[in-house]
Amino acid sequence: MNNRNQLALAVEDFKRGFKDKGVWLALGWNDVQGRYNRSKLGVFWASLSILIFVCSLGPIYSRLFNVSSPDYVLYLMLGLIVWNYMHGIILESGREYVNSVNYIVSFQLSYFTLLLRVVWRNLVVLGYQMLVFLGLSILLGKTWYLSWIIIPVSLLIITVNALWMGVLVSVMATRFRDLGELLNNIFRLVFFVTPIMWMPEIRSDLEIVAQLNPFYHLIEIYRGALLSGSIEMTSWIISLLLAFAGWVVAFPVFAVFRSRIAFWI
Amino acid sequence: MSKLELRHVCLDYPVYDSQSRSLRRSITQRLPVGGRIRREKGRRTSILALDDVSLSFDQGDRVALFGHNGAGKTSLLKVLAGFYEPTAGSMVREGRVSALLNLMSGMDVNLNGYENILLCGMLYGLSRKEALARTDDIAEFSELGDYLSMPVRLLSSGMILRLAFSICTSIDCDILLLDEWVGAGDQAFIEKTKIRLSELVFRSSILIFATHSPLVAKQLCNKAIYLEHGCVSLVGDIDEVIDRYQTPVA
Repeated sequence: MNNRNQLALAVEDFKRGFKDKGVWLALGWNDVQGRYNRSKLGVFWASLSILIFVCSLGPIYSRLFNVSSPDYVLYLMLGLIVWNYMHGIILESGREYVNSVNYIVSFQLSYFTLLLRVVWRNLVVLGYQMLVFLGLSILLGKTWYLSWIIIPVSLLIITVNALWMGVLVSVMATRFRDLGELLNNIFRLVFFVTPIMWMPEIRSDLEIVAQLNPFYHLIEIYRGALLSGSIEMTSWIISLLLAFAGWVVAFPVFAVFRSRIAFWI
Repeated sequence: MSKLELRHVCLDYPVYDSQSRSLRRSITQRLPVGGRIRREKGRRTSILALDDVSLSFDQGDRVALFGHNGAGKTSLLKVLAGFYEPTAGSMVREGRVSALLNLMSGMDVNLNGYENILLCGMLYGLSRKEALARTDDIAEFSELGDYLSMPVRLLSSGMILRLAFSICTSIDCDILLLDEWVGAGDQAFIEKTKIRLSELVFRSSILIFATHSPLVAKQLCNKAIYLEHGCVSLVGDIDEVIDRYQTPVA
């Protein structure tokens, strides 16, 4: 099969993903519901667990970094929410094809449909967690900024970035099953290296560590706009470039190996 | 106009987790089951499930697929369904394909019957609206009544099978791929399934049906293929193929 044909089939796969909106909306929603099945609070557990975490850790760590508790709590919360979202999309993509083999064989679902399902279920969780942020920011008397209207765009860019990483991981981790486990470990480290629990402003050398980390910029286009109302151009530009560069790599990889994925499941 | 055409299709499964010494070439070559196991120096071990298969089906063809265990019946169906792309050769497919290979896939046991009807309907390619419109018909055929508002995990396996059968036979398609089925449910329901299944078959324009039972095949099909170790060894009229390869009727 020639390269052009493979690219055309991959494009077709993506198109079918967008077309099967009803399918991934339903599947992703069921995933979220199923996870909290029969619990009284249901998906609100996702909100509650982040609230518990942030409110118990926040007051302690804010003293460690010598910043005001309310500010730190909101900072930590937003960082965690965006991190969980990206982390969820990237790592769950690696298991998605294997877990959904029945859907692929029986219903001819495209691979991209399944990745959009992963995105959607993580987006639902993010939505529920953002409710907590809204509640807390009202409670703590946080100022609202006009820049909040840019949040959907930030989220879109974050998603597009997480998705190319997800596409790449989904192909590689299905073929090499050790990769998923390895990434799990790597991402745990990246979490601590990324300014989520700490703030880069506290030391100038830490500022450099942050600036070199693409995840910092992806988090910042969301967190910065919500927290300080600032639109950090560097972060926006880096995020956009990263999205572009990422897809330039991820899409051809997907196109070349797409027809082999079925044999790896 | 529906059409299915395979030109020199091969399907070569790579084997990623077999230890090469546990399978000896001399033995595997003479097994009465399976496709050919390829083990060449410097290459990964692979199973040749379909070997140079060329077939062509048109409107009105109802084809039974015979063959020993591992002859490639299901592999052929999976290629036709588009799950596997042929590792060599090419396929032309025109028309809406519905592959009923595994009745239960798509069922979410934590959802209730109605929600499953909606979900499976959409998985089979219906819009939400279309799926909702068919719900009553599906519910009625399944005869599950109030049990449809229970989570499916509480239903007996026979009841789940009834539901699954009712859903997947309500979907219209041009090309229908069926893997061997045992009748679903109790005796009374099996009679109903036979009628419903043949209705579905005669609504579709091409049927490919993998089976071991010449009796069932004769009821549904007009043509037959006999597969052996991934190769097509005979194509023709159903009676002709059954005569040549009369297997003990189960």
